[in-house]
Amino acid sequence: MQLVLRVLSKVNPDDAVRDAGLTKRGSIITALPDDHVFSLRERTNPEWRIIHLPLATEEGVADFLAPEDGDHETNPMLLRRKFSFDFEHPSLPPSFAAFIADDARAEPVFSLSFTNTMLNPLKKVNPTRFRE
Amino acid sequence: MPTTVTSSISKSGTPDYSTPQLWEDDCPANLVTADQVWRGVIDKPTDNYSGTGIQLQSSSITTDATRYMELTTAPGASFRDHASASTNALRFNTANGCSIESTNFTPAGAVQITSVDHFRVSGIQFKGALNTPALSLSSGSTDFGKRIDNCILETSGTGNTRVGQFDSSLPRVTNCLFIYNGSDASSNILHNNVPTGKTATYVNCTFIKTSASPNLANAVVLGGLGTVNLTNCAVYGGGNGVTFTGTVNATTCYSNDTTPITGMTTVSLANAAFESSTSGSHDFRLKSTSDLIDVGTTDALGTPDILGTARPTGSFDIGAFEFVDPNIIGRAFEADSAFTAPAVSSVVIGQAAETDFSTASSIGIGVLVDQAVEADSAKTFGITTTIPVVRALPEIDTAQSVTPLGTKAVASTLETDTTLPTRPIDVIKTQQAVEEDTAQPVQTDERIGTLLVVEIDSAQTVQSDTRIETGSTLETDTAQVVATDDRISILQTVEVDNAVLVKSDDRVSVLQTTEIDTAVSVSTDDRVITGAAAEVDSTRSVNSAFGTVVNLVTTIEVDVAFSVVVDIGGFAYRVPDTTKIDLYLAQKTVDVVKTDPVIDLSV
Repeated sequence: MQLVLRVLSKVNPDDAVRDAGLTKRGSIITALPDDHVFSLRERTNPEWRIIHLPLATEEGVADFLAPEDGDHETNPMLLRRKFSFDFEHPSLPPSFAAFIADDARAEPVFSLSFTNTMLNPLKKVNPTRFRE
Repeated sequence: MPTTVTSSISKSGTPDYSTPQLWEDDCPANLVTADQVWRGVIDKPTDNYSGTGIQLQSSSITTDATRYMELTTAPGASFRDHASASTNALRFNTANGCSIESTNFTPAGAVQITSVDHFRVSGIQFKGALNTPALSLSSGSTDFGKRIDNCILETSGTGNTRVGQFDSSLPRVTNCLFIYNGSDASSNILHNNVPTGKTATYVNCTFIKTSASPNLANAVVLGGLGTVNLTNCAVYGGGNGVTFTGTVNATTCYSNDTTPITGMTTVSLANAAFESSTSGSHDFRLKSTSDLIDVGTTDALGTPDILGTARPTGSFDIGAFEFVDPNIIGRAFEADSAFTAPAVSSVVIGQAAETDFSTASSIGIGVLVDQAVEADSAKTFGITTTIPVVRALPEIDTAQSVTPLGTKAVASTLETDTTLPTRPIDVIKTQQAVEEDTAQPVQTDERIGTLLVVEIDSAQTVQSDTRIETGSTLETDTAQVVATDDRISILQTVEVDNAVLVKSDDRVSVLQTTEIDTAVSVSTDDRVITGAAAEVDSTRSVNSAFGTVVNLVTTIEVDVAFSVVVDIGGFAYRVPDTTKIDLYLAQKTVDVVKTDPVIDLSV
């Protein structure tokens, strides 16, 4: 799988409810197959990073894409993502931190040989946002 | 004035974004302060976004009425733009155009738009599986902020499914087709909660189930205490058509609900006469026998229909599809002096289409014309793909170009005056006449076939790579070149005046009369066959290289030709004097009845 990660939080300072519905640092924006071809704008976006997980499956990354569900009738989503990707987890190689920090990265995709099981500890639960 | 930021979205080529989700995430959080319209354009008909889970989630972007998000399609990418849009089965089909589809259960839907007040979607197919909505809208606070136009939404859910799940949302939905193709009677085709004091509007929408489903307990559920306007909508769920808790204003809506709400009339599914409701081959276009035709109310929001057909044709039809009967008389399309035609997916004309002094640039895909098309002084009359049928009289005067690329079948007359066609035609078939005046080139890579008359005046070139075939007369005046790589076959008369060259690489076959005036040369690599008379005036040369036959049943007449050379199996008939006419004739049945000056035959 290939994941697009947000490294710079998207913020809406004028509206706290809407702000919670935006992707934040550590959010996985989308998960795409190994052979997906990204556009130049996507590969070089300073707010995003693309990581390739050749050993992971769609099921293994599904939790990263799940929202914190809200009320079905009024506001079905409290948080855009229930989990974020823990960039600082000790199981990640040092080069990964450098990749995350490098807006002008020369190599647009970072390959990480993590299995689904190895990804589990990287799921960091975001603070629950209670309904308004 | 907001800046519109338009980005291409495609799975191939060099788009700005490779998926709708990435386009969405790159949108500024606040379009009002950014003063932008964030517009994504799916680029190709093959851009089908399909996978497990939600495929596009858009949330929490601050918008207003002039600074909004919009997801639409590039020309040619939508099912509406498909070359056979008018004849394709009207249902979700990735072969027809771009789409967004979720293939397994996700409660949010294949596409979810939440907490974005102003979001516009058009021309896209959406599909959900299991009990996944095709499209989910929620948490909108502005009436008609979300606009869904000309979309197909389909779900094959087995649980308590809603094809469109529009909760706490106030959309304006026009010309959309909602299809439930699942098997659960408790499912809804549409579920829309509208809060107190708020309004949602649906114009010319079709809400329908296929044969996969038993009768639905409630096809359309309108919750909340707000107001929902339904105009020209068709609701065919088999059970209750519309249930509601607030206010519903239904105007000329139809349903197979036998106890319909006020403003809704009962018409059975059979009498509604959709093409097919059989799951898998379902097709929700209307048949000509449908009771839903011409019984709607005029509403500007309802035109054009889901395929781009301008309404009304007669009166507004019910539902997303406007039926066009090509045999109905009195459906003229006429624009004089001030017509700017947009590229449209299909033009279907029952009687006459006339444009005078047009600045029209093109007619996009299909043209179905039953009687007459007349375009005067048009700068461009462009038809970019197939013209299925032209049954009567297309007439184009002084157009700068006529560029049909596909098959043109003409049952009556095709007339173009002073046109400058720039691109080859595949086939011109007419049962009556083809007339072209002062055109420069007339070219076809295949054949020109007519049962009656082909008349071409002042053309510089008439060229066919295969054959020119007419049942009656081929007449070209002052053409410089008439050439075909195959044959010219004419049952009655060939008349060519002042041509520089008349050339056939195969044969020229004429059963009655061949008349060629003042041509510089008439040349065939095969034979000249005529059943009656062949007359050539003032030509410089008439050559047949074929070795055996010039079959002339009655008469050949040659006036002041510089030379006529026919090489036939070693026999030579020669007229060597000042007229420089050489005749090599195999059959003594030939009778040269007139020469000027006198032709002296010798062997």
